[in-house]
Amino acid sequence: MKFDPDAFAAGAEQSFAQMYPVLAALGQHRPRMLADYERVLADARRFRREHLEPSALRVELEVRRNPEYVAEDIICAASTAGFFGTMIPKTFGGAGLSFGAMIVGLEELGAGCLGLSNLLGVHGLAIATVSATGDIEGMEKVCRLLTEGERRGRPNLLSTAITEPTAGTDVEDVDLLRKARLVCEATPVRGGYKLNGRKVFISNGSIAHTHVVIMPTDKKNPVETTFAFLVESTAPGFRVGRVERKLGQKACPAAELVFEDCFVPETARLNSKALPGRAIELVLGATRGGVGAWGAAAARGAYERALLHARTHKVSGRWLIDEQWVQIKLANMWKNVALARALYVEAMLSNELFGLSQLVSGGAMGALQQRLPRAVLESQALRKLVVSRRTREALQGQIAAMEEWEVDTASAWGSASKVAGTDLGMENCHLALEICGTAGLRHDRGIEKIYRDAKLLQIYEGTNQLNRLEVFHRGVLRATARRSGGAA
Amino acid sequence: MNQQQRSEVTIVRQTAARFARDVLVPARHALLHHPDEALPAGLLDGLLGLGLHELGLEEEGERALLGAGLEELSRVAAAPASLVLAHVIARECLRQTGALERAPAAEGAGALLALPLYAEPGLGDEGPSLRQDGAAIVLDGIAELVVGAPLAGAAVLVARDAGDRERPALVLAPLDAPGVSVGPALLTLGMRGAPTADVRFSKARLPATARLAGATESGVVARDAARRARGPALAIAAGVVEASLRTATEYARERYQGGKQIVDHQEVRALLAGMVEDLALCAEAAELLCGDALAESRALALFARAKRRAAHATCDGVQLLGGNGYMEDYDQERCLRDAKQAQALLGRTDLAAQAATEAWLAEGAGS
Repeated sequence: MKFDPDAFAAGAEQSFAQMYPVLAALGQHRPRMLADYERVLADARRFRREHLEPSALRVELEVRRNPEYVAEDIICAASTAGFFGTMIPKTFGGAGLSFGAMIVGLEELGAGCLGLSNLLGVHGLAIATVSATGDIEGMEKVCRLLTEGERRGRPNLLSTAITEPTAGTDVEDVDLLRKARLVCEATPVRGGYKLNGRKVFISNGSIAHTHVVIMPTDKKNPVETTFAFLVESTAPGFRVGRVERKLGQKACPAAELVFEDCFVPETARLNSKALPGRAIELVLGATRGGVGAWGAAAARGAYERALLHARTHKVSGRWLIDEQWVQIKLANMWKNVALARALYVEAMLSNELFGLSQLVSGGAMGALQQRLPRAVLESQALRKLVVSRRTREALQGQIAAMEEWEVDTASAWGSASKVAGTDLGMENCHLALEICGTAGLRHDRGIEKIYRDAKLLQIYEGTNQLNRLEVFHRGVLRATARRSGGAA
Repeated sequence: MNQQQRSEVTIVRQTAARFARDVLVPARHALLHHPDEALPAGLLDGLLGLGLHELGLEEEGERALLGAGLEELSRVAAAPASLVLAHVIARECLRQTGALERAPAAEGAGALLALPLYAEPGLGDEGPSLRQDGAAIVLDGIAELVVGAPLAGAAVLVARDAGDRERPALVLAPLDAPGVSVGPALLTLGMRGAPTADVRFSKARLPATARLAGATESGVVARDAARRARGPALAIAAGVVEASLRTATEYARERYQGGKQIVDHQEVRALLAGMVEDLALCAEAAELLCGDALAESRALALFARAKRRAAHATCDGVQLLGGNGYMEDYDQERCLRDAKQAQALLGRTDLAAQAATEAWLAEGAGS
């Protein structure tokens, strides 16, 4: 069958319902949720066309020459578009949309440029981490850094500092954490803590205003003594170390953060209790679904570029798009996009039912967000009501009351989505390079960049090897065992 | 391979390994950041001093020597090896068309020949067009991604005869001729440090002798030169995989996870085992393909499969190092990029696999 470029151009962009049939169906029951998702998709699509794609290669070349280069123009444009406040509750000045809505936007942005999408989206990890502590004051603080900055035209960015030089995978898993070779420690001192050690590969670490730092007070007993601290980049004893030279995703700086007797007051510690293993599981269960969405984005970015190349280039006098071997590859790539997306949508919905998202955008808080007018939500009276000891205790109570099978289910889906999405993303990159031949090897054509960018997705938020084991422990063993035993 | 050939291979390996250690390792940063950074003075002269570029593809013994040298270089950087390979294939085209004496007579890098090393041999649909004009030929259009073009005195490439678009024409184009311009050095996925550029022809008028062969022979010559180059090309991939495996193994022994050495985790061992398999495939295939023993269908299939596996192995190499693998410091990211680019040497693997099927059918399989 001959390829008809005109027919293709007419229907080049898939509609929301074509991309997300499950959500479209669900929208019949929850029309408001569907409207939110569609709006985020449309906004992200416009931003991708107007800002990301025209800048992606330029930004990468700038960073290649100077690793400390930051695409300020993109950050400001995203700020104007309101991206940083997407998932922040209206009470804290955000749009009050769900984590799921943000993920839909991240796929669209990621298909344009994974590095820039990470630059604009990695604060989600910080918000998730603070949310999982149940510390409502801390939540307000980090959320307002973004939203109030956004209103001024430039948000104060956040980073999350977890990885250490000798402990990457170990700090992503509670069981491994017990035996981790940690170098960081927060020593209690009068009026606060002194933080010492180094964190590495911290996304946006060199440009963030505030860092959510995960550190134990006793590194020999990290499971019971790990806390989250809010550390400002101006804190004495804190400095940014080197900014890494990376294979890809260059637009999002990865930096070393150095703590040398860095004093933080007692109030910088989130929550009075050490981070329970559950908090880490809740965070990763949510954010790994987001990485799965970036996997779908990589798959899609590669597919879209390969399709364009096949439409416009020939081999042996024939258009590539008319070659059956190319058609089969493109069909596989389309299938891979659909599979990656289907899985992260499942992970996202699973998280809204069982995971962190139900705490942040579900329940009473979610209902308030949906029903009350913005003026009421932003009023001081409501703020006082929300940011209170009672809310903190309620949130922490909710976290404690979550059934283990719920947390395991959300975690298993998050990890499965991460592994499948990122592997499918890489597969599509391989296929795209094969279709594109020499053009695929040149930076100026933008195809090889996706290959380099996508590789990171298989590594961060726990390597895919670790995540497979997570699927086994939380999906194969625990969640199914408890459910079949009639736990819920 | 007899005893003498084996000892010659050993000498070439040792010489190339010494050059890699003494010259390429210190130049690593410049090689990684080319074309933003200039290559260190003396690197190219040193490379030419090895004499690998003077080896031919005609004899099996010379191909083995070339493969051994390129493999050693590629353990540190595949880019210089790709420069040599491009030159050697271009020279083989000249030899087969009786045009060796027309190679540039310049000294140093100017004596090099450039070649679109990643294009399908003998195709060149998107290359320049050629038309006859009396005693001259006129070239128009762009030859993309010509390896060595910013340095070389001339390029061997395939143009399309304007009179018959299906017919390739092998051309030796001096890169300083009027109407010929070499673009800026391009940033590529891998093999950074091998200056590569587009060559633009704007009504470039060359003597008719620049056309190396007639329509029928051009494709045959280009494909035959590429056929002879498969072993050395695969040796580049093997060198890269070996470097990746070595780094991954050292890392797995040095680092701990969950209280035990990474190398003691079964999943890590599985990754290493896969890399060992892939290295064995690449290295053995490179050696086999330097010889003439294999039927064409098997040679093409092996070439395509081994190139794919090399790219796969280096992805695992990065994965095994986690975040460290993604950073420049550990050389794994260089291996990943070089191996993926090596997969495109002499054209797409899918088209090589299709050619293998054609050869299989032509060899009378099943009849």
